[in-house]
Amino acid sequence: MSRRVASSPFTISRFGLPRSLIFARRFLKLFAAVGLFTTTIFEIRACDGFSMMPTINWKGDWVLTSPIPYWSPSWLPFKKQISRGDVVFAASPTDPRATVCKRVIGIAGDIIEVDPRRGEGLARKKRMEDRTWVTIPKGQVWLAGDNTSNSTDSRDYGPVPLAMVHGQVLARVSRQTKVYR
Amino acid sequence: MMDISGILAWIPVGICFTKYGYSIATITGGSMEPTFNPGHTRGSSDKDTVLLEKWSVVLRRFRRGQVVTLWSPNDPYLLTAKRIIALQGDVVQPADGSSDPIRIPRGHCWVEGDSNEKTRDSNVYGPIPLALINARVSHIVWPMRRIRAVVNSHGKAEDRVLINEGK
Repeated sequence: MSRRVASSPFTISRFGLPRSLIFARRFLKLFAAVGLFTTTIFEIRACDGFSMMPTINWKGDWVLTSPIPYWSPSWLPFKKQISRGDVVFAASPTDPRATVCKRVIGIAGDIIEVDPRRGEGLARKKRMEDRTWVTIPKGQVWLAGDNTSNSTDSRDYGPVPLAMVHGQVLARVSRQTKVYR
Repeated sequence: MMDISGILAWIPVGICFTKYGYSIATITGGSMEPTFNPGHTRGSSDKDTVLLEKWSVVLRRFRRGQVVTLWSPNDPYLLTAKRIIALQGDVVQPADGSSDPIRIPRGHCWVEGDSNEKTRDSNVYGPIPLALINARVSHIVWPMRRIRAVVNSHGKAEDRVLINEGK
């Protein structure tokens, strides 16, 4: 006479792990693999907000992001540097939970005018008088949104350390697909 | 019997554990003396190995006085250990007394080394974004005689911080 093994998810069997634990273990493996893939290889994510219009629409655009272009462990003899014009995604300096998507317009050593747009209506002489310039320190970049009139960027929080730049935005995959270079 | 793919599938789990759970690091340099490497200025080459607790950073549980590791604002490949002195809204008087008190902006913190010698900390580079913080240092795990928990303290900035109680 054969013995029946009850197969409820919470049964603890002498013959192996309960089914709930087997499922939990499978989910753990799946989550870890997917999480590791998206943080180190590439990820397609939604990118909302007015700051990068018209490059990325304020709503409904999805972008392909990847840390690989800047992936450069210390043992590599060459390191690809972040260059001016790259669209990057970075941790927000004002909120560690958020990420921002901006364009790099200055790298270490550059001298940047903080807000060239400010006082557009003013006389040229007045504009020249009260503008401010910033030299970007070593290991930092200047981020700016393409939509200068509606963007919270380095004009507000200053240059951003490279360690906060997570990777490059390679392409827009929704609407008309467009590769950024 | 577990097949080979079943074993390989655990590798991402292990990597994620070191990224979001716990990890180990060795402290070099004397900027956190006497908390870490207490003999550094006397020429001792003993290096403390510490346990890094990542999940308190994943959950954004930052507290004044805790020792953290953070990416240097000037070098994305350099991880440094410092103590959080002040969080957003607090007012800090920089150690050299040369400039006016600084109010810490939103999402930033003020970090300092414990050493009385000059260290590269917020007194040099100013308030840093919380996003640079990589882990909390919870224990010293090696050498054997130095095994202990790392406790929160004021560091060397007890009388220079005005804490903003209201959020």
